[in-house]
Amino acid sequence: MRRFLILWRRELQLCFLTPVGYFQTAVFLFLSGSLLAWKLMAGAFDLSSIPAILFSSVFFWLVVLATCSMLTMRLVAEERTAGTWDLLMTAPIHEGQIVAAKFMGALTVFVVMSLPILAVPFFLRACGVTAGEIDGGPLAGAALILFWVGAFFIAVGTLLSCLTRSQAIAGIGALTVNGVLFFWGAFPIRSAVFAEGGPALVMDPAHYVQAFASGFIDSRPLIVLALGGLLVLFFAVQAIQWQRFRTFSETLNLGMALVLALGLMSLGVILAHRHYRLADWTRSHRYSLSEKTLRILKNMTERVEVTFVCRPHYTVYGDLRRLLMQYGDHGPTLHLEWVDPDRDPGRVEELLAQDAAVRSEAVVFKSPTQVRTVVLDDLLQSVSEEGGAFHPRAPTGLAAEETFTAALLAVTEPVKPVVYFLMGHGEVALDDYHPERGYSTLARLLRSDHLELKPLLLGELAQIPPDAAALVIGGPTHRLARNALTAIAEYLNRSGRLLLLTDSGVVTGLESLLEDWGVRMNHDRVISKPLLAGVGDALAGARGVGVTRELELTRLGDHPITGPLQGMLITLYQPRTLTPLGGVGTDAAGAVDKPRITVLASAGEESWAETDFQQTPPNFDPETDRRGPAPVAVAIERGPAGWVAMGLQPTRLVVIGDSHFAANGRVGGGNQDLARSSLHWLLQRDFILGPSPRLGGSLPRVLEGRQRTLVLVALVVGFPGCALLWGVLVGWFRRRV
Amino acid sequence: MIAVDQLGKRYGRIAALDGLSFEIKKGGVAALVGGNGAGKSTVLRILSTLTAPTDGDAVVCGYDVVQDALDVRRRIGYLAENTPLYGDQRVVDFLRFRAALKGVAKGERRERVQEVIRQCSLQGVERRRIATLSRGFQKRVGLADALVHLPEVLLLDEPMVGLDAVQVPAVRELIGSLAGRHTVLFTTHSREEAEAVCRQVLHLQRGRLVTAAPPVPRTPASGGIYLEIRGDHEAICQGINALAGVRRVETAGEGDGRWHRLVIRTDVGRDVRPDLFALAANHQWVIREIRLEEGDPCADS
Ligand SMILES: Nc1ncnc2c1ncn2[C@@H]1O[C@H](COP(=O)(O)OP(=O)(O)O)[C@@H](O)[C@H]1O
Ligand SMILES: [Mg+2]
Repeated sequence: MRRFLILWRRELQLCFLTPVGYFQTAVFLFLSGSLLAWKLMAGAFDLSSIPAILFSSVFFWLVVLATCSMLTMRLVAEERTAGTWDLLMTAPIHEGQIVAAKFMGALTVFVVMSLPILAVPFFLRACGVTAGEIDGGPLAGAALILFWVGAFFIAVGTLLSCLTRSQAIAGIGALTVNGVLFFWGAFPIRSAVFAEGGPALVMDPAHYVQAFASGFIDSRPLIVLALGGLLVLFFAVQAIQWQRFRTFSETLNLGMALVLALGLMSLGVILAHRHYRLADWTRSHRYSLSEKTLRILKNMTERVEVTFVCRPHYTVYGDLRRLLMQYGDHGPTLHLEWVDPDRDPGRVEELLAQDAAVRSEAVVFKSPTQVRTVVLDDLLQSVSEEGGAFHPRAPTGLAAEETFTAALLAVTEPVKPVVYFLMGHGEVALDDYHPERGYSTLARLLRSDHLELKPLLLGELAQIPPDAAALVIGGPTHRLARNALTAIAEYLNRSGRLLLLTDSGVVTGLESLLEDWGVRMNHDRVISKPLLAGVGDALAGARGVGVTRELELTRLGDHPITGPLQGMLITLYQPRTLTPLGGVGTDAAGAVDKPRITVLASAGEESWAETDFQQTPPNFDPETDRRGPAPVAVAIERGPAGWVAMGLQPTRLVVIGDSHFAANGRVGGGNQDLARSSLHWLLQRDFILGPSPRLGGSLPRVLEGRQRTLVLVALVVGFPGCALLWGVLVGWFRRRV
Repeated sequence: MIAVDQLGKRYGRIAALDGLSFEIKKGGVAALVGGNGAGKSTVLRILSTLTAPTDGDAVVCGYDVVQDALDVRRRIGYLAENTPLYGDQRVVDFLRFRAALKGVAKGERRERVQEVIRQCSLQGVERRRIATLSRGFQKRVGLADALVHLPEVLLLDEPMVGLDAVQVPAVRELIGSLAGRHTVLFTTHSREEAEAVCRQVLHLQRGRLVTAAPPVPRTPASGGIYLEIRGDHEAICQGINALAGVRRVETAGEGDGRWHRLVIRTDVGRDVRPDLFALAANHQWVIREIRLEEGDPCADS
């Protein structure tokens, strides 16, 4: 160990006490910096995606490849030609120590060289680039895979340097071997070992390198690269020892050792692929399945076969495959199968015979009773129509998870619950695309949750249909008809489920009904002071309004609906307040007939309930107005608690003092989860509660004029220039001293 | 201390060594003498574990050079023929690095390095970068490196080559003084040099040991002077040919760069050496080596 350290230090000295190492660093930084600068100029980005932007470039990896080859080609070959190799080989050092020291020396230099390029996000932030935040996860993932791949390159380079006296051959050899391994992607064993059915190797570097740099960590490439690197280094040691003999029998020994090592490595690779770990290192858990999907997977009891029929060249092959693998990791009853239609047309025929529409790329979900096919072209099509939610940075693909989860629900849930939307009193319509007053988006989302939605016009019919799993009254603008009111009251009394979204300033006629259920709907609207007082004041100066009608819900109640939504941004539009009568909270379990009321969300202290609808701008009047906090959403339950009594079903109501929050223009983010979760709780679909899949992170930005110049100068001239200058100083200093 | 038994080394069809056997007692000093290509370096490379023999055994300090290479390496100091060194390092730094690598304890390192610097007369150049030193100094740095960890066995390949006239006796003396504490095996192509240092002289010819021929009279009677000289080849040959007593000038092997290797055949009993020096001084030719021929110095080359 001590000798290893001595040799290692010597390697570092060679690089850093002579100008050569700095010049190499300068070249590396210049090439990769220019590339990054060019990419950053070209489009929008945010700070957390910089590693992924850089790592997605083939050119960058060519630079890494060339740098590693340059660092390793001299390692042994140079000492051989200079004869100093004999100095090492006659000192009491094991060949393994020499190889390890040479390898570590080059690796250390490489790490030091590439640190500046990984520090670019910090530099940009210091320059005032405000696009998003730096995310340590992707950065760490990028560093990890860069050093890991670099280590493998360097191991191969070290071996080649051991095999020849010529630095040029060692360098070109390393470039070629590494290049072939890296750019041809998958090792040949991929098809040889796992031809049929087995776990295919995920060794396509273009794929995993990108994933690591986006914060998605996979143990398999790490282990394969590590085993491969160790094998290569082992071979290097053997080769050095062999060079003393150069006899036939020794060559035979070497060959046998190599075959043995190769066998052990293959075993390791297979084990690594059987037992692997995936990790999501992003701060926003961008690549993790949503809680909702996880819950659905966990509660699944039926066996579901998921068949991914896709050519590996398909645009989002890797992303979707990774996504499905996560499904597999969390769904014990899920069985994944990968089918390449070109290689396995027979399997495709089989699937077609089972009613799966696999004429093109598709994912088939098959339970014992049902089959559902997601055609990937359609998926991408729908995504691009909706403004590109299928973000290239989000390997899971927001829409993909939604769609897959919906398909899972569809094949596992025997009946599709029917939800009626009351119409005829100015309620928001399901097929209305209006951004402020339309529920078409919500309707699509709910349908993907495996619900059937029907509008309900009561008219003469004075009864809620018996197949109604729930009733939604979304933002009526006039008073409800008498027969409707009776029907609703009657419906609730026979364990009905009601989602009531009622806006401020409207008299619906449901007031007295609700009071029977323990909640008073107040005739007011919540006005709040913006949380950021400074910004608010500035706005106030400009517009003459010191208040905002958007209410950010920060106080969410402890309830199955809102519990999982803590911390999410939910905004209501000047909601009305609700007052629970006779105390809030759950009463003793014995009082079956008394409604249990839970506050789902309240307006905060900074807001008040304004009773004067005419006042502009609204102003807090202590006599008439009430200060926050005030409840704006409540859940009501009467009867046996959910799962306890099987025969008796409880009545459930969710009342929210605003209907706009679920409209097309606002239903993104946490709003849709509030709406969806409320409905799922009403339907006792506990397995589907929780936030839906979403894309975390912030809006990408484009660099502004001064920043552009700064970034360009720093990356192309500054970083490499520093290294160059340092090298010149070192050279000058050496000459002096 | 060193036991070699029926040692053989083949490079393809060339037999560099063939059935070589000898033994060197602990504390003994021995010289391997032979012309170019006789196999001297090969013996030392085998003993220093750099290469493995194809036949026979070699044991150093009781360890087999093939099986227990690491144990052998722990106990030897080796000076390679062409004295490879890390040119970028300063002399002291190099010696400290080597001492550390060879396992000299941290506390003793400085002392050992100072000691070998003194032994090899490197004072004054300790802080110089090795690449900037002359060949002779570099040889001495290599010697210091071989000595720095006080090895039981010293294997020195051509330790005297490239040293100036003052240094040669000093190094001879140094090697002589190592006897007793160290076992020394060194190579040289000059028999007198070998005989000047030690009693055990092993004559090597084409990879075999030959019985030593009786000492040759120390006159140019055998008719040759070996000369290494720098200058214009034509002019040199002409000038020497013109000297009285010179029969002819032969080119002895390849010169390296501007150095020419010549063998001057003279009339029996005639010593042209003073004339040669005068001639060289006149023409500003530089003489690197001049010696009386014994046998044929370039028999195998
Ligand atoms: N690596 C090698 N490959 C092939 N032949 C070699 C090698 N090393 C030495 N030889 C041959 O072995 C013989 C002995 O060489 P060497 O031991 O260097 O002689 P010496 O040191 O006595 O001048 C020579 O004929 C030389 O050509
Ligand atoms: Mg030799």
